[in-house]
Amino acid sequence: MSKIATTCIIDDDPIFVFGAQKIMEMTDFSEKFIVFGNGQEAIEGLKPMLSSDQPFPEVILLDLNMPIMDGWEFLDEFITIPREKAITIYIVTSSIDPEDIKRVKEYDVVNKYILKPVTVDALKEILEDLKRAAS
Amino acid sequence: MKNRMNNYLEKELYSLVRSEKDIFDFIQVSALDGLWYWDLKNPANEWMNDSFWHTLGYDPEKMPHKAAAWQDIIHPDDLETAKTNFLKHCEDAQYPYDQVVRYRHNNGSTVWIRCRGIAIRDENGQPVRMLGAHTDITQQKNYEIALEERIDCFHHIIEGTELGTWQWNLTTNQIEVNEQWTEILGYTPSKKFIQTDFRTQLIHPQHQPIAHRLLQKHLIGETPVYSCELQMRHQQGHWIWILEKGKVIERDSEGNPTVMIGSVQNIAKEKNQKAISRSTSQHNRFLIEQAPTAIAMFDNNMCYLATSNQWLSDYGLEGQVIIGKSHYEIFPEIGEKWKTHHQRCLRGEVLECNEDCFERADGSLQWLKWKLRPWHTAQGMIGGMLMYTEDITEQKNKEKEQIRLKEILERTNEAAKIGAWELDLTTYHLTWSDYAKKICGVPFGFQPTRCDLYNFFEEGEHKENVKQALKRLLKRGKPFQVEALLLSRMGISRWVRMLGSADFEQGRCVRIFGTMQDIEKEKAKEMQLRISEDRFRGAFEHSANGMTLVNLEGRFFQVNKSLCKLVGYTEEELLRLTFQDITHPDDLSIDLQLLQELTEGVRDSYQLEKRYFHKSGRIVWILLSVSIVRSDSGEPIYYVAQINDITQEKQAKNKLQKSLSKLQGIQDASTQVSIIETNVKGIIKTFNRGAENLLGYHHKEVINKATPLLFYNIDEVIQQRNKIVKKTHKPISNFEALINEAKKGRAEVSQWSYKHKDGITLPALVTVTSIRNQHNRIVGYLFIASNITQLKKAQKEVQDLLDVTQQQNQRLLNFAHIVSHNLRSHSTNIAMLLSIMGDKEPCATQNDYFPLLEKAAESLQETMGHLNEVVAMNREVKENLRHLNLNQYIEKTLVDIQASLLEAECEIKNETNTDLSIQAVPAYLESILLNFLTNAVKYRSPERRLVISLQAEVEEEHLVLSIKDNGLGIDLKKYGAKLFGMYKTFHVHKDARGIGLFITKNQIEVMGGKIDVESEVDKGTTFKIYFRT
Repeated sequence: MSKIATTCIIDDDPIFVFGAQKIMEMTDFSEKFIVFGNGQEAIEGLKPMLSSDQPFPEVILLDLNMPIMDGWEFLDEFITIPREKAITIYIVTSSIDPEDIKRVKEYDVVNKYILKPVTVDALKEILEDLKRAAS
Repeated sequence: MKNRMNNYLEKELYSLVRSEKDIFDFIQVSALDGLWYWDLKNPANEWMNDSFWHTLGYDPEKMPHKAAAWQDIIHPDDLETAKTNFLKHCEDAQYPYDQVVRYRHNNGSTVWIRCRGIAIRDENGQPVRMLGAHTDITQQKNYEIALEERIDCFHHIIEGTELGTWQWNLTTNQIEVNEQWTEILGYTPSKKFIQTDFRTQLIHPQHQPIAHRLLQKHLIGETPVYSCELQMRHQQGHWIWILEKGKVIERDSEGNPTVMIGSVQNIAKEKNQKAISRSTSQHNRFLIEQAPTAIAMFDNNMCYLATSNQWLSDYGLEGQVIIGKSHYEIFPEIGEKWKTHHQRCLRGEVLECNEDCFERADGSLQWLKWKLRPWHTAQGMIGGMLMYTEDITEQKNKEKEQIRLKEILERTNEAAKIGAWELDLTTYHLTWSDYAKKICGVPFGFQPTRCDLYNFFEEGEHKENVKQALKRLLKRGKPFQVEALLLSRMGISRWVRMLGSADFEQGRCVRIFGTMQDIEKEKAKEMQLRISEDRFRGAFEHSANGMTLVNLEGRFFQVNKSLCKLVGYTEEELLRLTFQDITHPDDLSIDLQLLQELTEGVRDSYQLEKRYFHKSGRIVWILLSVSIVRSDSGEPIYYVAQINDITQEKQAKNKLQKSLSKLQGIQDASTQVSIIETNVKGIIKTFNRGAENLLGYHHKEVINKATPLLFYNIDEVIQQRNKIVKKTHKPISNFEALINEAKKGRAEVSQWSYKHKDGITLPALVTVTSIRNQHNRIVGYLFIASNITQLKKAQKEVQDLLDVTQQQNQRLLNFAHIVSHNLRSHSTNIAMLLSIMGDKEPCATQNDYFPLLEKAAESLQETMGHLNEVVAMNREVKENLRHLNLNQYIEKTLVDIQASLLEAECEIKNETNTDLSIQAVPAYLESILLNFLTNAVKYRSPERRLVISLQAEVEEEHLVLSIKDNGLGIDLKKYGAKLFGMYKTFHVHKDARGIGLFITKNQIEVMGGKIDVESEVDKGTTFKIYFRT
């Protein structure tokens, strides 16, 4: 299977980021990782990428509960940025609040709602999804 | 007597009297008021005695003994009559010289004299002297005239037998005669109308001139009545003596007579008798017998020499021989007064008296006219005395009677405003008194004709009634009383009561008379009375109120239906009772007291609330109004009472009184509740202690002085007012804003800020209600307010508590959030790290701790899951409730767990009805059923075969599902309180987690149900699950 070039992880929890990177390595999920500590950092980091020729991450794993700018705010901001490439955002959260699950469906850019903890199986599923989408 | 016997005629007469008994007789009979002796050979010479001149008011001394002397003062008409009669008498001694003539008295008045005479003839029968005698009949004449003109026409009544009447229409010259008239003259009764000429032809040619003359005199108005004695030819040819009388009753505007009425009377008898007397004139006894007056001649010893028959009859001496007897022997009662008179007379004095009263031996009063004069012998000596008396008792009595009647009549007329009328049927002369004329609206000078008796009454029934009554009166003498409308000449119509009666003489009606009375006022009163009586009767019968007439003893004598109904008696029963019988004894004395005052006139009427006993015995409250009816003389006759049933009002009043006193009690007792009563306009009428306490005002400060607005915050009121105006679009006052709801009949409870007198604002809960009277009309408003400061405090505490609870709830939510997010993210991290560790560092897992760590992380994850379930539950329920078929869900669950049921060899008895519906969240219902059923399987007894039975029944608003097993059972004494706690298990079992019942209980409760448990260890457990239906 072809690796994902760059995966962006937006989460304020360093344990999760560490764990997630480890699992991705194990599953050979992605070549590169870009990590942002909250929504604000992510917007600031991703915006220049969109306007330049730099490669844009193919997959974004977004946490919902974050300081400064949470996942919802990021989504609202992010969808306003003009872009050419298709981007897939996965919500990866520990929230099992049905309200949150319902709300996620309002965003077209969001592909899936993944409940923590992230497992090897879950990542494999994502890869297959992407493969289906590409083919 | 200076000139005694100085005249030859006088001397001759005296000798004549002495020698000739006839002459003496004549003088006796006739000559009381004058004597004359006429020399027919020398007609200028005539001797007149003293009384001749005295009667006429002249001094005999100054009067010459000449015929011319009296011819100057005699009425010329009468002189003619006298001359005529004289000539006839001279020719024919049978023809009487006897007439009534009028002399002019020296004082100018008329003296009526009856003048009679006889001719003294020589041996050849030629008259040589004429002897005449005068009787003064003025009084009688005047009286006669008076009678004719006055109400009682006695003259006619005395003579009024066999009267024929006639009515002469002078315009047509026709005379209408009645039956008597035709009978008298021998004609058939059919003869009704005769021509004037016919009458004239009937009269004896000799009498025609005098009759004509007398008639003419009357027609031109010289005499009050026409009266003539004349002879008329009977139908069979012979002559009969007639007294014809008449009177003009109508004249035209120029005074010419148009209608005359009169009578004829057969006087043949009288005339014949006179004729006989004349024929035997020598017979002195007859003369005396016929003498209308009483004359007696006495000698000096008062012994009778001669008497007239009249004397004998007047003094009741008929049949007695008195000649030669002493006057005093005959009349022993004669007093000294008379004896003195006699003595004076015998001494030569002439004494007379026109009216004297003489008391007879039998005690009766006799009125006498008398004259005493001496007579002289040829020697000129007094030979005795002539006594003339005339009994005028009857005349006097009649006079007196008439005066009395007239007085009575006049007085009555004055007093009673009564007019008198009289119709003389001999003359058909109608007389009206002044007042009668006034009633008819004619001047006092008006001369009514007999038709006016009814002519003034209104045409139609009124006039007809009067006519009929008059007719009956005339025919049968039936007195009448008629009330009829009279139309006066002035055009005024008034009610008149006419009365009539008749006088009959010998079976013949001679006079009708009566009265006319103006009864307009009386009639008006009567009409008014009748109208009000009618009205009263109508009102009485149909009144919705009880009405009764009660006599002075209190007995009902007329009652209406309403009263009967009121007291439950029939009319018949009630009429046997008195009001005392049915009045409550406690009310009787005051009622009787008031009635007494009413009777005594202290009061005109009275009203009283009292109690009657209904026939059934119950009490009826009535409002009694009584007035009294009195007679014209003011005597009480009966009472009129009006009776209104006020039982209901009374009861209502009592009730009201009770509630009032209750309210008063509440008001007084309530020191915490403010009660303010206002009138309709809002003026405060009641302000209780509670109000004083609440608002700080004394009741005297506000009652009748302020409205409740005084206590309100004006901004709040305006706000309320604007709210109402916005809705209704009608401007209202501030006060109306307060009572807006109460006015519509609703009690308005709202919270206001009341202002204490000190200015402190306090929260008040105010109830405003309207006060209504029995007619549901608003008479005022009630403001009941209580200070809710304390309540407010409590409310605030509750609110605070609520706030705390909400905060706590919020914290709980936050906690749930923490659990679902933060705690969970940590636990997931642990799980994730452990999983990476197991893959990446397998060597690090080969120790005793790693598996334990993994297990702990797993448990943590599970706990997190449960927590989330509990937190999520409350939020989800309401929108997910559905009506579900319980039986279907049970069956479905049984299918789901079929494998484990089979494994446990369990027997299931689902006895629930298939049509039971409950309100539940589908997922919860499934979870609940699953939980209980799996529990029953889990904790089954190893010693017996598991039997689970399910039953359902409706219990009030719940449907109760019983799930009964015969498993291990639970020791409820030991674990009851903790049974449904979290993480409690009571059995040692491989799957026991302790969370199931906790979640189940929560699920049941959030769906509005509850759960009960009955259990016995080693016997089994029954769970009763209550669902909303």
